[in-house]
Amino acid sequence: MSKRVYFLPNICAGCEECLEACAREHQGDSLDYIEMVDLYPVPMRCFHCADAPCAQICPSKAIQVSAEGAVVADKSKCIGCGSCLLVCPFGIPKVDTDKKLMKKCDLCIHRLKEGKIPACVQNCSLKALQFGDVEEYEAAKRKKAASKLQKLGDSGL
Amino acid sequence: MLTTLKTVLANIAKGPATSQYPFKEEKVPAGFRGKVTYDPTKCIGCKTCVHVCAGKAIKINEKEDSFDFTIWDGTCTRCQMCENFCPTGAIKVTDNYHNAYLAEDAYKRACYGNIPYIHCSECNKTIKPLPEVVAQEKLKGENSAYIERSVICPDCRRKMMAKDLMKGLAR
Amino acid sequence: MLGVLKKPLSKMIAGSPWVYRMNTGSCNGCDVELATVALCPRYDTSRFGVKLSGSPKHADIVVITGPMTIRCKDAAYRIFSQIPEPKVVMTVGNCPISGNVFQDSYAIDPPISKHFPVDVSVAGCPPSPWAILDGFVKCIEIWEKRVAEQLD
Repeated sequence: MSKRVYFLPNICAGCEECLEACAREHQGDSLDYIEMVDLYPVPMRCFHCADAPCAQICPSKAIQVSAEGAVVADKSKCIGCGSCLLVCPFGIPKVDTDKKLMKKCDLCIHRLKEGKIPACVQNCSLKALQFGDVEEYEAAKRKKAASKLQKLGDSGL
Repeated sequence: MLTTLKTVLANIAKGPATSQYPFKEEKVPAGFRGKVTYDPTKCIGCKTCVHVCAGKAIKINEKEDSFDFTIWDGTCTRCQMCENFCPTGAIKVTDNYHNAYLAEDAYKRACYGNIPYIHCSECNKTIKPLPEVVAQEKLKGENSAYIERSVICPDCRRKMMAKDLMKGLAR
Repeated sequence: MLGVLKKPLSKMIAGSPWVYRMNTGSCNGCDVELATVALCPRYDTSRFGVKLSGSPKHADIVVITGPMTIRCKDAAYRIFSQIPEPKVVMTVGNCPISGNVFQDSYAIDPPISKHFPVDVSVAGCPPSPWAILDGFVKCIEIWEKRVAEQLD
């Protein structure tokens, strides 16, 4: 199973360091978002779906799923039609109508190839973003829930 | 003398060499490029055809609630680049060669389509619609989820997903 | 007396329209198609009585090809003014309609309908011989009407 970027809830403070790091890596344009749900900031980026609808619908076949599991768009084939934006359930791709191009998180694939982690994960000062496997994330959650149950059990309830 | 007679008789038997055109319909050769037709139900408004049209005959005019698509027959060179590059197959070149017009029919020689935008059901912004035909063709399996969500603009979709993500996570 | 003879007279006169061809800067694609239509026995227009005329002063139908290039504008105006009424003007090809692929050029001044009154236009680049035949048939219908009007 491939690695993804996960965020730990309630730790994100909305400082937008991840957006600035992404902009530095990608020629001045940030590819991520921070959405506010009531008072809580939620960092959002491309979810790199295993069965990506954007890759299926792209009329010029510019979006492909790479070997590392990242959904990457080939800029030379993109015609800027915006179909990927219409079909994405999360509304993630950014379409630039002047340059006729689409931009979205590419899992910093140029950094992954050098063995580094994505820029947003590296620059999050509060460690709200993690980069890892689904199994690791689920295992960590299970351990946390188990320790909570253990504490309840210990306090004699 | 005999060969002449044979040739003359053979030619008479073959019939006239003139094509009977205005009185009988003429069969065109295969691959003949005639007028261009347009299917508005497949158009995604990507403007690739505008970009590649050799004679600048295709015009896409974006208005407030819809966008207009026009092909002017008097400027179309019939080069077939638009059919070649159209990603969804909305433009097709037929073999219709009836191109003679009277002066008063000058504005009838255009192929016109109008695709209305949809309004987001949450925030009422206009969004370009995803043609259902294209979604059925390209997306695998059951597509009703995408078709339902196609009436919500991408910004509202992000907000909805952010809310859903926070719902499932422990407080 | 002329009233009774008007119809058969106009039919006789309109039976042989002479065509004068003007090329105002065309690439010759439409002229080649015109030559095929008018001269070759396959798409024979002489079945309709059409004959290519050598002089503008004998012309009944004027066929114009090409976008009006700036260089030939004077000559075109001079020749057109020598064509006597009644006449029918037909343009062949996309260039007289809009300039086609040469639209933004500094050397042309389309459409021809800005300079001369056009009756029939045949679109296409170049139009197929059948479309040009259609155009000729339409021109001849208009020509008959104009001759009948002249006889009034």
